[in-house]
Order: sequence, then structure tokens, then C-alpha cells
Amino acid sequence: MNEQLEEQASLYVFGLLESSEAAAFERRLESDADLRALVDDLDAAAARVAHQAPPRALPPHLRGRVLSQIGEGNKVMAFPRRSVWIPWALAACLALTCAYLVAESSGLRTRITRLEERDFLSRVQIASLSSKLENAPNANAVVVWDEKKQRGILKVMQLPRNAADRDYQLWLVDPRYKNPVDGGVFHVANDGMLSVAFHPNTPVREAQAFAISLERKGGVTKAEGPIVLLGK
Amino acid sequence: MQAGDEQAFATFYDKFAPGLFSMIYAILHDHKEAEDVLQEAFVQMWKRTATYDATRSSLFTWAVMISRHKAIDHLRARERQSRLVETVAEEANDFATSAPADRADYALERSDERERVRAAMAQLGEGQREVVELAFFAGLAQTQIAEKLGAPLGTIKARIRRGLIALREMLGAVSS
Repeated sequence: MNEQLEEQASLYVFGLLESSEAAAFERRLESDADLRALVDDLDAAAARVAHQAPPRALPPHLRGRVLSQIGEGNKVMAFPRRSVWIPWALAACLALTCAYLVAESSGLRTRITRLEERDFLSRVQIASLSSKLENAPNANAVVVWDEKKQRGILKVMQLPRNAADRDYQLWLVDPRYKNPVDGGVFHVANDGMLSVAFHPNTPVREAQAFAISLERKGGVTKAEGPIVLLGK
Repeated sequence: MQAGDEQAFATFYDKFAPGLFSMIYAILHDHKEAEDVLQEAFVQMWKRTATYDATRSSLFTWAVMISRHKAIDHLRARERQSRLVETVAEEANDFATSAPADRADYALERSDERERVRAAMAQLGEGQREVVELAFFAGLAQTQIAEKLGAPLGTIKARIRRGLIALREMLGAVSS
């Protein structure tokens, strides 16, 4: 086996060949048993590099999630098909997203990813915020953010009512700024629900994450209180 | 498992999920995303069990390659990422108190294998080790690896080849 083929095989195993190179290489693989054997060997060697990953505790609940999905025949929740009349309006996106949030929070991220891939949503960003509160682990929120219009909608659910001398405050994390950008303050009632539009007072070009903290009444210029919801 | 035995698949999960989760996390550095990717990977493996060819690869290799591929796909698709948020999220997602869902025998076996791989990696030259790790975990293209390491593309390709061939020689037989 010459070095050039070995090199191609090594790059192929790591997925580093350009698509045209990979296609040509795969064609050759189909008819070259020695090359196939080399790739299988290199696959095995490369796979063992996985052991270089620092050990990380496997969340116990994942086993149930996986096996239950297998057991159910791997049903995949279909997202509603796009209708031509669906407007780009943020409210529509929010309604769709929130419906799924209520249905099953564990699968939300995957479905949101699918949702984001829809072309009619390509201009808006949807983020799912999960709870950081021990006393309200089911609290959650969805942010629909339209960067072009510099406005968004925040929908909060099951968030504990804030004390009279406190406000919740939304933050947008934009790497251009040292500190997260203030998205405004809000408070929630006993039912823990809130839907509010927001307009950051500083231009946000790349909202990489959204966070909600609990601050003193009226809000602060820089987050001081605990983060209660976080997501991207 | 290839006959669609869920119990066999559960055993397969118990054996490989802990190591795969660590690998996926090392690629994505995001706990929730790593969970989702691990789940997607196992579902895909379940769907593909009939196509698994034991004469070509071990279950371990097969599972790693499917999981890594999924993780790299997620990594490349991720358009928004903030180191600040990662740090915050990581702190917030401290799973130190989580009960490990891991069987001692599997953990021990994995630990032995990890030591073998670490020893083998340590024997590679620094340049080869670095480039192999980047190729595996970073989801970068060849040119990006070359830029990151400040080395010519030809050198990077040669290091990947030499590193991987050397690993194959040192590690010998595939793991189960």
C-alpha cells in the first residue's frame, strides 16, 4: 500500500477528505479489498482515540429516554408542515414552539433544531431556556428573536412569582460586548406565565444565548442576581 | 441485537453509553447537546443493527464512528456558540452529584482500555498526537487544522497518516 493511499485512508477515516475526494475514494473502496481492510483497521484505531476523552458521568435518566424511544418503535414526532399562509410573524413561531415545549421538554431541543431548519423561520432565532432553579426545575421559557428587527418575544412558563421588591431581567449574550445586553425587566404572576415583547436598548448582532436573572426591582445594568433560566 | 432484541440493546447501551457520552461531550462541550446526540446515536444504531458487519469492525468501533459522526455534525451545524455561556452552562449543569449509571465491570474494562490508548498516544510524537486528537475531536477541516497548528497542509496530512498507522500498530487487535 503506498503512502498516498494510506494518507487518503487516514483522512477518510477522520472524515477529512473533501466531498469529491471522499466520493472517489469510496468508489475505489468498493473494488479494492486491501484498501477496504486498511480502512477497517484504521477505523478501529481511530475509534480508540475516543478513550482520550476525559470521563464524564453519564446522566442516569438517559437510559430510560433511549430505551423508551426504541421501545416505542422509534416514533418521530412530525412537525406540522409549512402552510403557505403562515406568516413570518414571531407570534406564530412562538405558538408552535410553545406547544411543543409543553408537550415534551426533553425533546424540545431536537425539534427546535428541526424547526429552525425550516426556511420560513430562517430569519428568526428560537431559543429554549431551561431552569437553573432547584425549587422550580420545570420552569422554562422560549425566546423568539428577530435580529433584523432587533425585537423578540419572550414566553415564560412555570417560573415562580417574583417578590415585590424583585424583577426578573432578560439578558442577550452577544460576544461583541463584555457584558450581556439588557433585554428588559418583567415580573410573573401566580400562574408563572408571561408573554412579553422586548427590544434591547443596545444593538445585538449575534445573540448566542439568552438568560434570565432575578434582580432588584427595576433591573440593573449588569447582571448581579442568580441566573434562573438559561438557553441558546 | 441484530434480531431486534431490546434487552440485548439495553446491554449494549450499558456497556458503551458511558464511554460514548464522554467522547461526545469532549467534542461538543455541552451537556444537554451531548445527551441529545447520544440519544440520536443510539436510535440510529438501533435502526442500523441489521447492517452491522462483525467481520469488518467491532461493535465498539461501529458505535464510536456513528456517535462521533453525529457529534461532529452537530458541532459543525452549531452556528452560535459562546465560551462565556458554555462556562456558565457547565457550572449550572454540574452533574457531580448525579448517580453514575455505570456497571463496575464495564467501567473497569473501559479504564484498562483507556490506559492502553493513553500509553499508545503518549508514544506518538507530540505533533502526531496533537493532530490526531484535533482530527478526532475538533470537527475541523484539514486546512483549519493546518491553520490552527501553523503547519503546512502536507505536514498535517503526513502526521495524521503516521499517527494513525502507528496507533494501529501499537494497539493491535481491536477492542470488543
